[in-house]
Formats: sequence, C-alpha cells, structure tokens
Amino acid sequence: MFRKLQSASALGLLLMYGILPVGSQKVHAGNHLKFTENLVVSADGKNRSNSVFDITGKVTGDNGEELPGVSILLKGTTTGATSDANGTYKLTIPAGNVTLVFSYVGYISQEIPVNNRSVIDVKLLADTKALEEVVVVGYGTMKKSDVTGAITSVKAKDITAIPTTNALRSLQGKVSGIDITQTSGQPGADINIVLRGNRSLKADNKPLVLVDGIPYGSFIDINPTDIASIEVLKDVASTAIYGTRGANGVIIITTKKGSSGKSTISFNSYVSMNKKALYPRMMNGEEYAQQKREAYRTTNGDVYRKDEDIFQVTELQYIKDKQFEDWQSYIFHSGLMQNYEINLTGGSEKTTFATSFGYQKDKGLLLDDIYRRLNGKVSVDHKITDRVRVGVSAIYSYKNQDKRDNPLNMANKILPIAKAFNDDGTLILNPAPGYSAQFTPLADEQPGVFVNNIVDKRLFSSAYLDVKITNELFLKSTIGLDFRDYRRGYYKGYNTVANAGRNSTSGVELNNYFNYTWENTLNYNKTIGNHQIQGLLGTSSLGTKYEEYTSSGNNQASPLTSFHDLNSNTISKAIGSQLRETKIASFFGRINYKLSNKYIFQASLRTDGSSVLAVGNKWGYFPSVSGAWRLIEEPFLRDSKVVNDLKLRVSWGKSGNSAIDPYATKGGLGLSAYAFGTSAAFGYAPKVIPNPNLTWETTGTWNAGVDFGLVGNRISGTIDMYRSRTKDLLLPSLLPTHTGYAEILENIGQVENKGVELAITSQNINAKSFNWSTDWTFTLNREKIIALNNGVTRNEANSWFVGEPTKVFYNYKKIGIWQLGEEEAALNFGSNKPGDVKVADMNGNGVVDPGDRTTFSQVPKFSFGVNNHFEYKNIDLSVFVYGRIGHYINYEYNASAYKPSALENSSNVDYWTPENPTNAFPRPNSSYSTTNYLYQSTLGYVKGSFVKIRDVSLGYNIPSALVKKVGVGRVRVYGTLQNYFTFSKIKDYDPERGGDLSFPLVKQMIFGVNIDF
Amino acid sequence: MKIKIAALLMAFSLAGLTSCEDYLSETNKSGLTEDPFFQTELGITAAVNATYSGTRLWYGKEYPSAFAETGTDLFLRGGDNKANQISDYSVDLNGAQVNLKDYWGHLYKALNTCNTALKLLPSPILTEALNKQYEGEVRFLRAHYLWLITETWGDVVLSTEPTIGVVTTAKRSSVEDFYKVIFGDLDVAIANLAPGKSTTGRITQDVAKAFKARMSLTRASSTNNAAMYAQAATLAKEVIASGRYALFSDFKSLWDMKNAEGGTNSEVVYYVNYTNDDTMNGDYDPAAGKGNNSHLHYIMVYDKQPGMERSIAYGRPYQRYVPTLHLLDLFNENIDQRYAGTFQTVWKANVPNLKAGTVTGYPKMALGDTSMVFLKTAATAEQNANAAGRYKIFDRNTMYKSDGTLLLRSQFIQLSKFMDPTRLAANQEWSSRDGFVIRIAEMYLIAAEALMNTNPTEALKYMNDLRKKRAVAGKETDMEVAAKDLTIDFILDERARELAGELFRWYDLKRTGKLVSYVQKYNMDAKANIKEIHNLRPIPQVQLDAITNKEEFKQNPGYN
Repeated sequence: MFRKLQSASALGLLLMYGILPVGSQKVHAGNHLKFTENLVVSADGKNRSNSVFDITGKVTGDNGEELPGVSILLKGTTTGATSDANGTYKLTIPAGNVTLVFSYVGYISQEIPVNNRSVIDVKLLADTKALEEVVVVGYGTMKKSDVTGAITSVKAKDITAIPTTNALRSLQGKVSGIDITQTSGQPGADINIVLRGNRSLKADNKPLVLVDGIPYGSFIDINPTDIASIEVLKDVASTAIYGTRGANGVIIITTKKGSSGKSTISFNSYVSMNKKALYPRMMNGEEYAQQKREAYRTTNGDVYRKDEDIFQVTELQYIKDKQFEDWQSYIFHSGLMQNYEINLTGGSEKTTFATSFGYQKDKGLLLDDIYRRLNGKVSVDHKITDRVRVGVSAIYSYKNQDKRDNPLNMANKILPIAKAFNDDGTLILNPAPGYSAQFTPLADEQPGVFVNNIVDKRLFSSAYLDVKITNELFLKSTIGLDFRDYRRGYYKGYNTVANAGRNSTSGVELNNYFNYTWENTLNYNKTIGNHQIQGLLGTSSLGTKYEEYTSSGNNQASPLTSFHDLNSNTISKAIGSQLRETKIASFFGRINYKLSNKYIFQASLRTDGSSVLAVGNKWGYFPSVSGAWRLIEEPFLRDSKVVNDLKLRVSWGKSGNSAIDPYATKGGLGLSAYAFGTSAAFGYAPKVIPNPNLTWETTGTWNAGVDFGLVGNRISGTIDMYRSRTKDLLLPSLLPTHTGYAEILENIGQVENKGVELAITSQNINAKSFNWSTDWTFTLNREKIIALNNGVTRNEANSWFVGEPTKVFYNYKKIGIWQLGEEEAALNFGSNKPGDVKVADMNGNGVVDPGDRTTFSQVPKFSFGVNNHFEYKNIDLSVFVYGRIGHYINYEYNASAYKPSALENSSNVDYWTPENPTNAFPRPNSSYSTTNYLYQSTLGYVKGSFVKIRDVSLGYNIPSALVKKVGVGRVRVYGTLQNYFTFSKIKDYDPERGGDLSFPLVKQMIFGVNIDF
Repeated sequence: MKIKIAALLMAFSLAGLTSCEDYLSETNKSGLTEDPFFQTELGITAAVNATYSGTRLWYGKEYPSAFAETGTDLFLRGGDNKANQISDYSVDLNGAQVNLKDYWGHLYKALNTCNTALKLLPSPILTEALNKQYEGEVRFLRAHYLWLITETWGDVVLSTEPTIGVVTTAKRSSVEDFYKVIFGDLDVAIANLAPGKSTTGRITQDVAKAFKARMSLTRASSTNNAAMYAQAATLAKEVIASGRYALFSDFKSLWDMKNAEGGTNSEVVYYVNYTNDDTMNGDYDPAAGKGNNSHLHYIMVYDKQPGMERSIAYGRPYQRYVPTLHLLDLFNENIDQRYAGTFQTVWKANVPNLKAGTVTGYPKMALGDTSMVFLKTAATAEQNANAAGRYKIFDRNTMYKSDGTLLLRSQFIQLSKFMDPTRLAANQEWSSRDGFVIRIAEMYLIAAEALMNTNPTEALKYMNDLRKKRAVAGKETDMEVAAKDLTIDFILDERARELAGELFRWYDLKRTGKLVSYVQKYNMDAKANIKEIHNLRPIPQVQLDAITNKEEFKQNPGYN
C-alpha cells in the first residue's frame, strides 16, 4: 500500500516527466504510467478481433506478499491493467508473440513473453538500488542520483511508523541537520524546528514548509497517512530556487494522490495512554518547615527561632497533625489520546481522487485540557486531453481545544502545610493558612469558573493546470488559497489561578488569515546523445493578509454567559484590531545539464521583491550553482564489488530572508494614555524609529557532500559539510537608550554556521526471514555571531555576543557556595557571607563586577539518532534512540523554584547550612524576597544533554491468509512506547522540555492498527 | 493549440510582470506614523498629550519609591523588596541594575516625546492661544524630566531635539547646562501659561512657579548660590500668597481617598492624574490595570496574623519598604499629628464571624477586636498584661535592635499615606489616587530653607506656620520652634516628617550633601556599603554598550 501511494504521489508533480530523463521512466513508473502514455482501454469493442484472449495472474513480491497496483503493460502498445488488492490482474490481449511489462515502483521491472499462456504469475524483485529513488526538489522531482544539493527524503513508511500529532516530529533524529524539540507536553503544542543552526537574530529562523508547493507553516495538522513523502532541502543550491524564504531550509511535504483502478480504503487508528514523563517533586511539609526554620535561623544570628515566632497558629497545628499536601498529586492525571484516520483513493482512467478523514482527541495530563481535531483531504485530478490535466485539492482542519492555564507555577509554590479540601470535599481557595496570595492550584477545576476555548478552522486549497505544450515543453500553473479562522474565547472567574481573587476577566480574540500563492512554471527537457538538458522558468506571487480583532474586560456580570456577553464587563473594557498585509513577487529560472550520466551541473537564479522592505530596496537576487560527479560511473569503479555507489557533490548559493513584520520600514507611533480630570487624554508618542533603507538579509552557503553505497549497498549513506555566512542581518541594532529608543531595525551584522552531517543506513542482517537494519544520523552545527552593529560587541538586552551562538544565557557563573572559614575572602570578593552563592571571577580582578558575567550556550554541540529495525517473519521491532548533547538549559527547578526565603514552597534541593557545607545551593535566608537573593539566577544553568530511547515499537502483520477470509488486504497491529527512557544528569526531568516546569512532556504507551481493504 | 498555449503563457508572465512596484507597495492601515498624523491638529494634540504620560511612570509606581525613599535614612528594604541594589547599595549596584536601566529608558523616552512635540510647536494650524498653552505645558514637562535625569545620573546626555535616524555616539553635558535648559523651559512655561490651580492635572503657571521654586532650591543648596536661594524663596512665597492653596488642619484626612483628587485637594499644587476609569490609567503602554500602585508597597504582611485575612480595607501587602527606626523617632506623636497621619499602628481582627476562643493564643479575640498593636516604644509590663490573651504586640524591641537594625521585615509600622480602601478587590493593583507631586506644604519648607540664612525670622514664620497646622489639637505652641533650631538638619527632619514617602528623600539628601553621612548614621542595611560615588546612579550598561565613542562617554565614576 505504501509503495503504491508513494508512486501515485508523483502523479501530482506531472512536471517530473519533463525533468526526468526518458530512460528512467520505466524504472520509477507506477500505474500513472498508463496515464501519460495515453492508455485507452477499449470499451466499445470496436478494436476487438477474434484473436484476443484474456490473460490473468498474480503478482507477488520477494517474500510472496501480494502486490497491488502493479502496472501491467502490453509491450509496444498502450494496453494495460493494474493489479488489484490481492495482486491479481486480468488483461485482454491479442494472440501472438506479445510481451508483458510488469513494473512497480521500488521493484525491478520484468518483461515476460506471453507465449500463449493464459495464466502468468510473476514474482517481482525489490530494486535494492535505492539510487533510482525519486526525490522532490523545488518545482519538480529528480532522480536521487542526479541530485547535486543536500536533500534528505523521508518516505511515508517512516512518517507513519510512529504515531505523532505533527508529522514533522517524525523527522527528529532521522534527518541529519535538523534540530527538533517539543515545546511542551500540552495537547496541541507546537514543535521547535531549526535547520542547520540559527541564522537570523530577528527574522524568523523556521524553515519554509510547503505542502504540495504551497506554504503551510510548521504546525502540520495533516493526517500523517495522507503524506507521501517529506523532503528536507538543506543547502542553498537546493533552496535558492525559493530565494526569499529559502535561507532557513525548505521542507517539502507531498501528499498522496489517488490512482486509477480499484478503490482502496485504509484505516489507521491508535490509542495512546499518556502519563507525565519525568518531573521533579517539591518539598513536602516536613522539608519545607525545616527550610523555613533554617531561613529564620540565618537572620537570627545562627540561633533557631521558636516555631511559634515563624509559623502561625494554624500552621503549627497542621505541622503537629501532619496535615500536608502533595499538590502535584492533585494536578496530574493520566492523559489519553485517540486517533482515527481513514483514507479512500481510487479513480477511473481520466479522473482519480483521494480523500481522507481523521479525528483526534488528546486529553492532556491536566483535567479539562483537551484538544480535538477533525481533518481530512479531498483531491481530484482529471485529464482533459492527452496534453492538459487539471487538479484540485483541499486540506481542511477543524480544531476545538479547551486549553488550561498552567497551574504548576502555583502548585509548586503553594505551601505543603495546607489543606486542599474541606471535610465535605469542597475546595479550599486559600489552602495554606495565612497565605491569602497562595490560591489553590485546583481553582480552575471548579465547575464554570474557567473557560478557555479555541476554535481553529483552516481550509488549505490548491488547483493546478498542466499543459504539455510539446514533448519537451511543459507548463504548469498552480494557485493556492489558504483560509484560516481562529477564535479564542475565555472567561476566567474571580476565583481562578489567573485572577486569584481579583476581578474576573473575559475576552475574545478573533483572527483570520488569507494567504494566496500563484505560481507558473515552464519546463524544458531535451536529450541529445550524451547530453541531457533541462530548463525551468517561473513566476510566483504570494500574498498574506492577517486581520485581528480582540475585546476583553474585567468584572463580568456573571460567569453564566462565559465569553458571550463581554459588554457586561464593568471595568477595563478594551478592544483592538489589526491588519497586516505582505506580498512577494518572484521570477526564477534553473538549468540542469548532465553529461554521460557522470557529470551533473545545475545553476539557478531567483529574484524576489518583498513588500516589507524599503522602497528602492525591495528586490534581491539569489543565485546558486552546483555540480556532482558520479564516480561510480567511471570505469575504475563501475565493476567494483565493494563500492556500489559513489557521488561527490559541491554547491554554492545565496538565499534571502525578509521575514520581518510588515511596515517595519515606516516607523510608527505608539498609543499613550493620560487623563485630564475625568476626560481621557490619549496621545501618540514616537515608538518605532523608521529605517527607510531596510533590505534583504542574505545567506551564502558552501556545501560539499558525498553519497555512497558499499558492500552490495549493505552500507549506504551521505556525508555533508557546509559553511554558511548570513550577512546584512535584519537586526534590531542597539540604539543608545538616551535617544528615547532602544533599538532600530537595520541590515547589520553577520552570523556564521558550519557543520557536518551524517546519515548512514546499514543492512546488518538480511536473511530470508530475519532482517536487521540500522539508520544512523549525526548532526553537528556550530553557529557564531561574527558581527553586530558597528563596534558593538554585545547586545545584552537580547543576549547577543560576538563570537557566541545566537542563543545564549548571560550571567555570572556559579562555582559553589562560600564556606565557613572563607569569611574574609567572601567579604572582600563582594560582601558575601558563608552560605551565599560563590560566582567565578571571570576577569580575575579579585572582586565581582559585571565583567565577570559569561555566556552559556543554549545550542547543542551535536545531536544524533540511531534507529534499529528488526523484522522476523511477520513481526517488526524498531528501537529509536535520540540524543542532543552539549547545550545549557535554564532549569526552573534549580533557579526560581528554589525559595531561600521560605516565603513559598521550594524545590527540594541540597541547601547550605553550617552543618551541611554543600556547594550545591545557598543558605535559606528569610531577609530576602523570593526573587532577590544574590546570584540566585545563576543556579539554573545546567547542561541539558540527554539521550533517550524515544520510541520502541513492536508490530505484527497478521498473516494474509487469515485476514483474507474477512475480506481485508492487510492488518498490522503495533504497540509503541514513546519517551519512556530518558538519560540525563538532571534528576527527574526531561531536558527536552528546555528547563520549564509547566506542562511536562508525556510518555506514551500506544496501541495501534493499520488496516488496508 | 501551441499558439493558444503560448498566448496563455505570455499572459501569465505579463500578469506577473505588470506593475510590480505597485504590487509591492505597502500601506499601514492599522498604525499611525508621524507623517502625516503629526501634521494635523489632532496629531499635535496627541503629541502633547503623550508628553504627560511619562509622569505616570514616575508618580505612583514602585521603583521611583525605591530610588527616592530607600537607600536613605528613612526607609529600609522590606521582606519582598525587589531592588536590594538600590536599598542597600550592594556590590551588584552597577550598570546592570535593571530598574535604573528601565528608568533611564523611560525618562529619555519621555524627553524625546517632549522634543518631538516641541518641534511641532508653534504650529500655523493651531490658534495662538493653543500654541502658547501647549508649548508651556510641554516645556514644563521637559524641565521636569531633565531634572530627574540629571539629578539621578549627573552629567549625562542633554537632548533638546527629537532623535532622527541612527545615533551611535553620546555626549556628556554638565549639570549646569541641564539646569540652563530647565530654567529656560520653566520661564517659557510661566510666561505662556495662565495662573490658577490645576484642576484637571494640566500644567498651569502656578505649577511651573512652584516647580521652579523647587529647582531653585535644588541648585541653591547644591551650589550654595545665594541668588538661587532668593529666587526659591520669592517663588515659594508667591505660590503661598496666591491664596489658592491651603494647608489641611487634619493631616490624616489629607490622605483620605475623599481627598485623593488633586484638582480639589486644597494642598495640592501639582499632581499626576489618575482616574476611576482604569482604561485611561496607562502610560506609554496604554493598557488598563496600571493606575497608581503606591498603596501596595508600604503595606506589611498582616494577613498571616491572628484573626486577620486580606481585605480591601487593609490592602495588598507588598512589603517593599520599611520605615527606619530613625524615621519613627523623628516624630513626637504627642504633639505632632503627622505620626498618626503617616503610619498605621493598630489592626482589627477581620476574619468573618471570628468568635472568641477560636484564635489560638488569643482566646479573647473576636471579629472587630484589636488583633495587633505596633509600638515604636518598648512595651511596658502594663501594656503586655493588657494585651495578654487579647491581641499581639509588636514593640520597638521586636522590630528593631537598639541600633536600628531590622529584626522583622514583614511586620512593621507601615506608612499609610497611600492606602486605598475604595478599590474593588483586595488584590486590585491599580488605584485612582492622584500622584501628589507638589503640595503647598513644600512651599513653606522651601521658603523656610531658602530664607534660613538671610532672613531667619521670616524663615521661622513659614516653618512655624506649617508646624502649627500639623500640631495635635491644643499642642500648637509645643510645635513651634525657635530661630536657633533652624539648621539644615532640622529642615531635613521636618521634610521627613512632612514628606516621607513622597519621592523626595534621596534627592533632598543629595542636594544638601548629606546622603552618605545620613545613611551611615541611620540606615543599618546600607551603612557599610555607601560611598560618595553613590550620589550618582550608574549609567545603564546597555547605553554604554550601544555607543561607539566608549572612551569619551564612560560609566559614572566608581561603578564598574
């Protein structure tokens, strides 16, 4: 099924016929072949003669599995058929000495003379020469062996192997060069995605994500089973054709298309039991009480004070009765995610279609934190004439989310000396006696007090027209229309975590997007002897429009009306609206030249005009050149037993980025408030200083790579090295603040990224009934700011420092705790005392001063993924290990959650006392507030390195003999453990979360089934 | 067919090519820009209104109180103080101090807003009267922002033109030059504006004169300039003599929410206006929920005490600032009503339905009974006996060591001037209380200080006029002082009694040269840390980082 859909997907990119050398057609052709070859099945019987007869048979694969969708063609004619779900086919052919051609993507084509047989069963052999794989490139497709840039292709099988809400997450650790982390464990949370490091300091660093050629955004709410392939274009030679937005890499998602023949239905479903993964606990009642005693002892000349002096009477009673609460135990529940997807594809010779429908419900770890999604897709392709094709496609999604506010901040600081519920089971709003600012973290779970509902609707539609002008010249015009409507409505009552006894708040945010894309391309393709030439010319225009309306207020008349009666708010009513429009116009061209299948050359040029840049500076030119040398075709390697494939690639290109807010060149005024008497006196003050010279940020990249296959392709892989320099950064350069402005957006500064990427696949064991293969990826990127605005070497407000990565923490470096006996040194260094945080004297001048602050990189030194895949008969097992090494996180638990003041509950850390001369955490001290303990902020920086067994997945294909009886083609059941095993130096925490204590990442136990009818 | 397709193709390309520049031009329909908005009357009015917003950032906000009240002889760091660099002059008081950084930005933004508005004035599209009024108001506000800048940081950047384009250098101007501009601006304001009490918060001539009196005294005391003293006295006397302002006979009611409207409060010459409609209470960020926050900062943690819970009446305990023992001891509460009018010392149990016998340790306490009594003296045996089983006593020795070192930072005798029991909820941060900037009492104090050396008799008259008004009923003569008492230390003591918490102290100590000696004497948290360098605040590191002439424009001396 996968293979079938994969081949069918190529259909959508009709242009591939223009690009691919004619000779390769048989190799990759699926059933779409008959389409373009103008197959006409004779229906009226006019062509029939007496000499026709029917031939039937069955097509199977290496292991005897039935292959549906195999193309069977009568050689030299356009007559053909396709095998059905059981692999059987039927064809009416003329008698005589005819030959049938069996072809199927991923398998070696076979030509079989009929010799007057009426039954021909065929066994197709898998084509292990993966080199003939077709990959999607910018505005086309290409044989993988012809690719000159750095492109990684992920096929449907790998995307659906692991259940995920965002298909891009399946790239984590599987595609080298891409750094993906989860933003939080809340249902519906997005992912962070960075390709080959951060380049831009201000403009967006997210790669351009295209779905069937149209920009989609990184939150991919498309059913993973609708996806045929994901291609990651990493070097500029591959992305320069997207000029404007190609600087951060391009991810191309190609969705599946229908194919003619028998309709197929597939059903995929899984259920996932979610639990919080790793999460640290706070102090319990005893521990907290002891810390508070220590805090008051510190400020009382080392003498403990009486409990009566520091605890109020009810607290003392609670301590005596051991009336303590473990707040986390009330907060966390188990989550449950359900996912159902159904696909239906099919079609006639002229018209094919693909539809899908999906439903997902993700119940988070917190009560009432629920994400629901309905989505699907309809696409229809139709051949008008031999030369003209049209198609439309619509991807839709409807999301309905009840989104909780984070209660963990309160749960982690509210005292454990507390009583959560009255004896009758009702909630106590201020459970910690005497602490009226500490509101129960369970407040939002009371009925009716908290509503935060998001409804997000999107229709992502596109249509195309393909015209084959001549056999060498193809025209394609695509139009994409993307509509999105978003509504968030909230009502947060008086007694909620957010409002903690203050006014109620309610409001609605409405926004809508309308994006359109119109692209026209002309492809030319010619082969003369050893020379193959392909050319591409195109235009593109892209517009975005965003409108926003907000209204809110405080003190609504009643919670009964939720957010539907905002006018009944009595105070602080506020309304807002916004309109933002951007446009980009582009012209582009590309030429490919191949000599003797050995030497490949490609050059491209794109020019883009962007509305957000200044008049006179709107247009930029983005060239690229690249070449490849297929050494494997040289005589000295052609017959090598060891080396099966070898290709060297070199590329250079320039791409641009203008992903800044619209109107940034124009400056702007900011609304200010005042009142004369009781009359409002709103004013306008200069807010954004205009810069009429803003232009493109450009990135130039060198890339060199080698693709290889060794020992019968048992070991194959790719190694790439690159260096990119981003110049004229769209940077808010520091203005001295005496100007009244903090910054001005300028084209200033440089960032460098360089790195090495490895992706290797080894077939360790390839026996008849047992297979073991391993995929390895390794990513190493070094990013560095080369320059900021003239003469400025640091921008503290944004934590940018020349010579450092773009994302760093900047602070003093804690090296321990001042100990008894070090009184004098502590005092001289910076008026410290034993028990205080000891920071490093980075500049060595003997005293602490701002020059002692240093940087802590948030960027990993390297990351890797290892995926082991085992197959034994009908059973498959895969184990995926992912690691991200060498970066710092600011761990909230160590920093702000440790409360030396004991004014709030604290993380359970090893703190200093005269009897416990630790170097871990400073001494509790009641004279400081929760946030102003000297150097407390330095406690949070810890190495965030981790290795996790991200997925362990065990699948079983129910034997076809068994499922056939109930009329089903294939049934696979599987179970997966996701995020169950994480190894790091941080106790009880999953560093992938990035340091934050809100919405911890979940571990999932998943059971799923795939059924093909 | 081919021709048709070729034609189609041409059409596509042309559609792409035609009028690209038009296609790419952008109009910001949801935001205003200087051009053309500031060329209209509405725009100029908006530019002038915006110059007022900067005052909202200073009066009624947390950190200006930290700058002006802590790190002095009057206030110490409370249990939840957020800026101990400021209160204690601790080792990390340097260019990285975040609140000073913020306020440098705020004040220079306000200054640039004034300069932008002044560039538009006078405008031919406004009436002459309006031109004069607007220029007078904006000039006053510019003088006010410049005063805060130069007194806080010293010889720093003096901008009188709006910022245009990229600036990469900074130039120091002397304090003297700052005051030239300040006095120039104030003279224009006095000339342009009509006399009268400000009833809406707009600047009037009275406001400008009173502020010029303050500026004159500031320069006089820091440069020992006799002419400036004389000018200060003349202006202060003029404002007093205008008859438009009167001292309250009940100091406590001066701070009652009934009298929180500066426009109707007879003592108030200049105030920063806040309103009951919170949507107008913002500043350069117009968001609601801002308002006057000063009610929060002096409140101690009463809500964990016997029989107590948080209430609207007692407010939200931010516990930022604690009075020094010195401040408490400055008052003779038997004759001076300002002690009771400035501090809260008694708390009544307010837990609903509180019945006797339910509060552990205080079996007699019931709703409405006394819960706590704060004594600036040591509790006597009689007082303790009286309280036993009924309420809790926090006395001098519970709260302070004998040298003034704080023993408690969360329970203390709290400044009550800014309390607002009219808020809608106990936790509501914003209050509609106006920020009183200049009260007529200050004019009496200015007159007394300015005349002290040249005309002690007249000086004494102003001093005693004020003190008698502040006397506990019947104790007027006890409040009178003699000419020999009039020293700068006495004036400072009197200013503390009158103006504590009203954003004067650090600047008063600085202009009189007493900052270091007073802090060493009365501030037990900061006494070991304070040095002469602390008469100026450190320049924010972000400012220093952003300039290219780093050798010319350096950090203030002593800060690293």
